Amino acid sequence: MAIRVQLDRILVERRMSLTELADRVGVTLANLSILKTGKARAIRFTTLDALCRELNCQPGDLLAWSPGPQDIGSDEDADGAPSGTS
Amino acid sequence: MRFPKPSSLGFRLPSVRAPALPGLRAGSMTRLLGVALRAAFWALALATLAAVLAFIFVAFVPMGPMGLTATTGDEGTRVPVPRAYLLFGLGAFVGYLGGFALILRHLKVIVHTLRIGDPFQPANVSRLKQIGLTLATVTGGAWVGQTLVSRLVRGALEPPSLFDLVTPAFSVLVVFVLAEVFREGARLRRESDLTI
Repeated sequence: MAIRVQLDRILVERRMSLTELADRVGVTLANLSILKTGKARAIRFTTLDALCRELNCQPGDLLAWSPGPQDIGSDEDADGAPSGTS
Repeated sequence: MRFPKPSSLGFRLPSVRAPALPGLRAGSMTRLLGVALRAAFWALALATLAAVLAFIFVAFVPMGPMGLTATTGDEGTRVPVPRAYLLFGLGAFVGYLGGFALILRHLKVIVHTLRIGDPFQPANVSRLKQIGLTLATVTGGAWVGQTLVSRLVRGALEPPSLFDLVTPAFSVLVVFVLAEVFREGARLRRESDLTI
């Protein structure tokens, strides 16, 4: 996916750990790790709102779009077939 | 062609709702299904085991030629059944019972995933496909078996018609459509899991 979540950079700037952020936002550490590593498929506005509130930043600071080669397995169905095919 | 709405004709049709079973909620229905499937599975599994034992008995224990009487009414036809035919028949019976036992086993596992609140798994997709294939094989095999037996006892038993395959064919189709529905459900669940 071309959307990148720049959580690492902002956590370093705010001098906050991922565990502390997870506690403050109310999201599990596992889910926040999924978001940080770019494996998430979608993010709820409520989660984005909580992240921006705790990190005191704008959504644009957290999210960036950088077109590049598609990640393998990012658009697959449950049985491995590409999504959107009938 | 458009049909006029009932309300535009000046009358309203009463809303019809299926009556809910008293005292049964969704969870209770699943539990009931689980109990029924478990009981049916074990009954079929025991019957299959008995058929397997009978097959082994006939295969290894020497016995004279058996005669079976095939009848559809008052008069019957006495047909000598060679050992090979008997073994084939028993083997087909084992396959028939075993096939349905396998289907019940898969259904049991699917209902279990339903009870734990996680039915849309990729494993359930393959289980449903296996159920469809097993159903097709067992019902098709039973039809072929009935045809062969009717030829063996010529005139005493009517051969099955192709129309007898219509209902099983529709059942197999329904199961495969359900498998596709579950596949899409598994995909949506995976998307939901990866939505933070």
